[in-house]
Amino acid sequence: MTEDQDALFSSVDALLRQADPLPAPEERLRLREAGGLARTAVAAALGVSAQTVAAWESGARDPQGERRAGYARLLAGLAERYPPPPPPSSTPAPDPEHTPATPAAPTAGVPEQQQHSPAGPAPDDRRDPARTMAYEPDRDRSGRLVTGPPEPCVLCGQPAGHRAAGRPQHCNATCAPGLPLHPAPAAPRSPAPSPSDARPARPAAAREETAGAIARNVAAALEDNGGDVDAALTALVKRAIPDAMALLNSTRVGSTYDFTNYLSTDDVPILKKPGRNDPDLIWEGRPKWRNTGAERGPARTVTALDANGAYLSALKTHLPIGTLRHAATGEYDRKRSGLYLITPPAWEHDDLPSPLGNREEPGPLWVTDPTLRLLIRLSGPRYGLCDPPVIHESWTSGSSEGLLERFRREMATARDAAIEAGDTVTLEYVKAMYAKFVSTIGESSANREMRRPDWMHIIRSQAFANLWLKAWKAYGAGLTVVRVTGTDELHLIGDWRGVFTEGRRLTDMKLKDEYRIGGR
Amino acid sequence: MAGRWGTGATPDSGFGVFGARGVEGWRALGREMDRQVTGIKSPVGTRRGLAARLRYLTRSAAGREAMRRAGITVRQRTIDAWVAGTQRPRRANLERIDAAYWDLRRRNLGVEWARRLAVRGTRIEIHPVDQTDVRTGRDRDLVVRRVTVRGHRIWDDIIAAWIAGDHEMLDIVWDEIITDLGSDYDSYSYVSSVGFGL
Repeated sequence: MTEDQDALFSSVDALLRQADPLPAPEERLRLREAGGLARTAVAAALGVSAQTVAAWESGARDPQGERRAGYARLLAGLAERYPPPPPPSSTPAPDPEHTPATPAAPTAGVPEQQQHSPAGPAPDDRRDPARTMAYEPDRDRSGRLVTGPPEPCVLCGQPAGHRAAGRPQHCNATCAPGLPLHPAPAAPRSPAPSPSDARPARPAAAREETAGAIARNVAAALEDNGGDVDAALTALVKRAIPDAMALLNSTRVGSTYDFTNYLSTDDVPILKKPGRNDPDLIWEGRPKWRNTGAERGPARTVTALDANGAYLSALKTHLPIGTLRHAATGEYDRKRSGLYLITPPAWEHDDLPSPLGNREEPGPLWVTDPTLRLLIRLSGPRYGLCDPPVIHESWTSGSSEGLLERFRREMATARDAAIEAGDTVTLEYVKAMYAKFVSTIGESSANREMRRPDWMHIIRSQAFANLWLKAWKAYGAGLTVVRVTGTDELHLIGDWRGVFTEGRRLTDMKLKDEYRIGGR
Repeated sequence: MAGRWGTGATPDSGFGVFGARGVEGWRALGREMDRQVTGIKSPVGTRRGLAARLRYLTRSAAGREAMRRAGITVRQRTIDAWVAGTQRPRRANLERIDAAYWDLRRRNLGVEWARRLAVRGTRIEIHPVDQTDVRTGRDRDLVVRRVTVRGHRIWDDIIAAWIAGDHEMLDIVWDEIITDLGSDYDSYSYVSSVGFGL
């Protein structure tokens, strides 16, 4: 093969890749979300605007040229990691034979000398996009994976032979049990960095700092306590607050918004507690509701369900970023979040709980953003359950739903992995972290690194709003809602398995109890 | 105090002339420390609150010293009767006992804080003055700033000044903290609040 021919072939390959079929628009969206990538991150990597990526994902437009090739590669890499769910959806899984990763010919971006390098285990020069996106395993000069004596992987704590950034880690963060400790024969050669690889470095590098902090802490605690699970767990729960704050701080690196850790309650009078042990004025809308009609009815079996990790899920909520500012107007701005003085609408549904919980005092009350959002939503044409609430005053700041998102995802991933592996230590540790985080970010002497009572109220209200929406979902499916209490309890009559999945994941519901009511 | 907000000597100079709202930095610093004082929650008027305070004050020589500083001049026998619960202090003495308790509590917390902060330090989050009422053109471009303060030299001064209520000293230390902020440090001689963990 002459140089000319080689150059010709690679340019033809580049053209071929630009003609590759892309997955359907819905699939593009699903893949990006499954990978936890922000639209802006994808846009930055491909050198387009976030709106363009949105247009690709909605099918309004299709990428062209170089960008199409880059986008196809990203999607193929994501599809490999996050295959479509088992029930055959409308979008076919991308065929690995037709993904742009397959062409056996060298990639256009690879310099000539690399392509002709005699070293390297196989002529298979394909570049797996998935590998370039995350933790690049360490390699020696000839491109072989660096191995060493098995040591606990920094991500999952299981023995790992490979190294990444000098630390023991499973290859490409695939912490599957029983991974071979020697390099696979078809290990792909390290690709030469090309500009498109270098660009998404910022989020990847920032994430590397945080990834596995939970697993590391658990592994260290187990080692310190000589493998004594109970002692390790006690030690971990004890340091859950500082650990959660450290995790939060590490997830802030490279984030878009810089929120303030402290809110002066002197400046926001409604958050000031009248006495040392008295609550402030905020109504969180905690539900405590029982369906008296159903309890008086005929004898039936009630299923008591629990939402899993309600406060963990509630960390995804619109949180005010900075100092709360007062406004004496009744405007609602979706881009802001905070506290609102409202006159709630009347609630005239005996078979559904009020989204405000069991508020007994009439008149205006201070609610948080999630409660108000829920009320506004329920007053809309889609639900039509009540009149719109009347807003009188507010204390708000510009908001973002993503402030705690990386923090939440870090814990959710560790939680899922712990459930999968039956690892009670990590499970309890994560639970202590998020539960204590929520309960101490207000004015608690147990956590001095943060004082955001507004966040505490908002996160709790979000958990209650989430529970209300679960009750609504069951109600909409024809079930009778019997009780809605606390953060996570939902009691139903009927075939609840048709509405919720039973399980321990965050989206599942846990079966708690079954009992009989009525018939008296 | 650093003074580019104006001296206040003439009516058109000084802080707040154009509508900015805030307090002196040292005051916010002191407030933030006051906020983090924990202690006995029951009021001194209750049997439980009084007993707890007396226990705290009579356990050490420092406690007796604190009572003396607060102006409690009764004999030891009377104090013993208070502790035993056979006699109740008069109203004036109840107030003095409360003052003595919080005085000693702040001192003891101060020792602990100074020990921790000298090594670990703390990150002070400085919220700039509220400029919502300042008209455009007269406002300053101010953002939330964070500065890490550590070391015995500075924290010993801060805590000693805070315990003694020495405003001049706290002011000097605040100036020292904000000089680390760079060229616009002067804008933070007044703040809306500061926040930090101790």
